[in-house]
Amino acid sequence: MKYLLLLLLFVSSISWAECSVDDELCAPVGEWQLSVAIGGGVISNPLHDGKNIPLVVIPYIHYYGERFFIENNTLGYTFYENQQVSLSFIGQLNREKAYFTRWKPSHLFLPNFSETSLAPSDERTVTAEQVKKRKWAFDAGIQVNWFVNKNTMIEGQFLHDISRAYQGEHASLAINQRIKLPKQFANTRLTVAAGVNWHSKKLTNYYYGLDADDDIDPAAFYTAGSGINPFIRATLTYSINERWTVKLNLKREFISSEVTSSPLVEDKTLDVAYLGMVYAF
Amino acid sequence: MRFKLLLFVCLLFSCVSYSALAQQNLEYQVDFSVKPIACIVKHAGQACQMTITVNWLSDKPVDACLYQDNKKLHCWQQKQAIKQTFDIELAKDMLFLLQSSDKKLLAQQLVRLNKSVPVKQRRRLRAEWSLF
Repeated sequence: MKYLLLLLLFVSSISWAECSVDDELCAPVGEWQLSVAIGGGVISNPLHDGKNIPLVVIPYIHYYGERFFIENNTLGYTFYENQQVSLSFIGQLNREKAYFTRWKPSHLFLPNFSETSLAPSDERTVTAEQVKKRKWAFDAGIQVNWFVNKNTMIEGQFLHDISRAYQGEHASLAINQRIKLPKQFANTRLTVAAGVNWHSKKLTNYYYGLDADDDIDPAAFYTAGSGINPFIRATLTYSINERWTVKLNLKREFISSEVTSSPLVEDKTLDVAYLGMVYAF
Repeated sequence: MRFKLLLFVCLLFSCVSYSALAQQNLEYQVDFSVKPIACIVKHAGQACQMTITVNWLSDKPVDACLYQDNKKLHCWQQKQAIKQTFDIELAKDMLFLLQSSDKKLLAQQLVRLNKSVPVKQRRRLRAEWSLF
């Protein structure tokens, strides 16, 4: 293990490269970057009777100041940065509540796809409609970015719920790798990622645990423990011209058994698939 | 002056002459130049207002129109040599096109919008489109 670390340190010390203009992994300081994707896709909803979340029009905004940054749903302040490592305070909306939300046309950009869903057949299954309302949560914490080389970034986060909804923590660790493609694919970029999300017991139990507050059959009461969700992701981008690109985004996250054992949860994976045209303003 | 407000400096690269020959199999050739070939603003996002001088010379009289990207600036009928100035505004790099009356491309030239203060770049801290 220590040899691996030494090797990584050696590799990173010789292969880091400065940011260049036109590199999608870099952002110009002080400039707002806005793009909109129009296409089709879905975020699967693992809950019993849960409606998948449709993706049609997705706005994407990012801004990087000298220290401050916004990446769509993440606000951050970088308090330490060198050529290989960046440490930031960040805040972002917790995603778990989204699965308990009925998405309607009034939710901006997300039209209401009609979708047939089977009513729960097992007595022990419980739907989001039957339980006490779960709240949106806002998390804040620390993010570490390690730029191993020009094409590889390792990203770690440790976040705590500062909105006092679930009052717990979650963390993630992921490696993002840009894949070098043959010259004939000069306009195509492929990025893959693999990582894990860790959710504290307070988080899993708040959203997926069931108790007397939920006004359900006590036989379905459930206490969730902390869990780890491994995930993989691939993003394929084809640049048509300076402003238009085609983007394919695929992700699969394997939900921990602490969550899948909940009577609320039907699926063992969380999937995201999206194909769209992106216009950069 | 608005011009001064918008621009930090507009350098005229008049010493550089650029000519483009006809792009297609035409029965005539056109020497075409637009000067200056760049305008410099202080910061990104600023537009540049400038006066360009368009020169073109054909080996026979032609009907031709000058376009700034898709916007038509001027047309000439049966002219062989032109030197004319135009007041334009650049919000980005733009192509100036000389097209014949039947929409054939006779020549083109890019006029760049450069920033005098180079934009510093930072590594992005979230993976691209990692919002899901």
